Amino acid sequence: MASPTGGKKPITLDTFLRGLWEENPVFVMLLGLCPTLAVTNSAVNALGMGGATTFVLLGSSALVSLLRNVIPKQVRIASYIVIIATFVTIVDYAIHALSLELYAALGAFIQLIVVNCIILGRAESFASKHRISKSLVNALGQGVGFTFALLCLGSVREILGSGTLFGFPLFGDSYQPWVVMILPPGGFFVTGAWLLFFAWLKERKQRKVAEQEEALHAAG
Amino acid sequence: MTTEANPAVAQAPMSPMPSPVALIRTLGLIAMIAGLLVVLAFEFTDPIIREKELRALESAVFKVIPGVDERTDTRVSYTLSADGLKRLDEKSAADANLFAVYESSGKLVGLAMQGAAQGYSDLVSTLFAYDPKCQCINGLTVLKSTDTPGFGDKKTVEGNEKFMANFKDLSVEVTDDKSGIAHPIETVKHGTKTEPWQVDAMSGATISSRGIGHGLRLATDKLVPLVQQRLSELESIPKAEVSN
Repeated sequence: MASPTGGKKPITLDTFLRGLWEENPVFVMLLGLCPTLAVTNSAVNALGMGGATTFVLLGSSALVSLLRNVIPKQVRIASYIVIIATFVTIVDYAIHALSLELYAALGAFIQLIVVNCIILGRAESFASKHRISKSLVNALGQGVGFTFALLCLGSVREILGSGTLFGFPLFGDSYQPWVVMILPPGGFFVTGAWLLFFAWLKERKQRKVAEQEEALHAAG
Repeated sequence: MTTEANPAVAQAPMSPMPSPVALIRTLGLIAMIAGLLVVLAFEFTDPIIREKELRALESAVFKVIPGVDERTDTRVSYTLSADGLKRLDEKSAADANLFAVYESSGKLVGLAMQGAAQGYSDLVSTLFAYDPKCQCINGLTVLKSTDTPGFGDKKTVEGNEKFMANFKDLSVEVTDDKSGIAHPIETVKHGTKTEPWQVDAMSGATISSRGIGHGLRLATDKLVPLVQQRLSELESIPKAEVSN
């Protein structure tokens, strides 16, 4: 249902950037971790899953936003799930048609986008309350943010676990791949390392702001 | 599954309950839109997927059979069972259990079959070349393996020269009455192969090796005696049919 004011606010760069950084689905909200850990054993797989999720986010947000005044509250979750499942089926066919190798690599995780909480979360908390253009920009931001996070993980895991990036060898034949990095434990290690890194960045920023405020107080 | 906290929804007073007809109408509308979109996507992508799968299969058959000239030779797909040998058209090639490659003159270049058996994490699917003259397997490619990367995945298996050497002249001789295999394929521990029908397992990936070996055994036990019984039908096909 449209909120009385939410849909009227203008689209700003922040509408897009929130999903990329401040509300990054993986590094900040810790959502969608199942595909994040499962398919990021290479950069290509990460990009494929990120692209597929972005497509589903865009399609479902657009349709939910279009139908927001038609869908009664009582059946909204059932409606959102059907809409999301539709776009997941479309992207499943599309990836199968585009690349058999990528389709085989992503496996069941394409179908499992249906239960990715990022998408249902966007439909429920944003698209159902805002007009289509704003919902699309917000969904794109979340999709790009999710893809960015997957790529961060996929690149590190592929470099360490296979000695390649996007399939191109980086270290020559003498490199002994760190196989654990492309296995499930590697997903946890690398996710943990990236979370530590982003927490450190955030803490450093907060410390600098606090120092600046203190300096201003002292000067005042 | 968790969703984002949405206090607006939780705290908003519920609007009056719409009639069941209105709810069903809304769900019906959404289901109709969903059905339309899915059917459109299916109709558009299905021919592309079929074409790509066919090309991938053809490429694998040409890769696995030695001595194939991709420019001039032709692949023909069959289903072979105790009921007989049936040639399949291109649309149903994915249902085939036997692939043959013929020269432009109609002479048989080689045969390929698919093997599949449980590996470490899922079915390991392979395509292997069978030479009816030497009654042996002389080539193998992994079609699908989700076994542990670095141990039993496609890239690692195909990159293991020692293991792949098993599939050169791997004996699958039939009995004198052509009713079965004289010595069915068996996978043995790494470094203990003594017979020409044995597969020497990969070190550290014994379960994946057994999956591959067992897949070959299942396929050869079933198909090789039938191939030998119907070899005259397979050995050459009319020249006109090759170009079709």
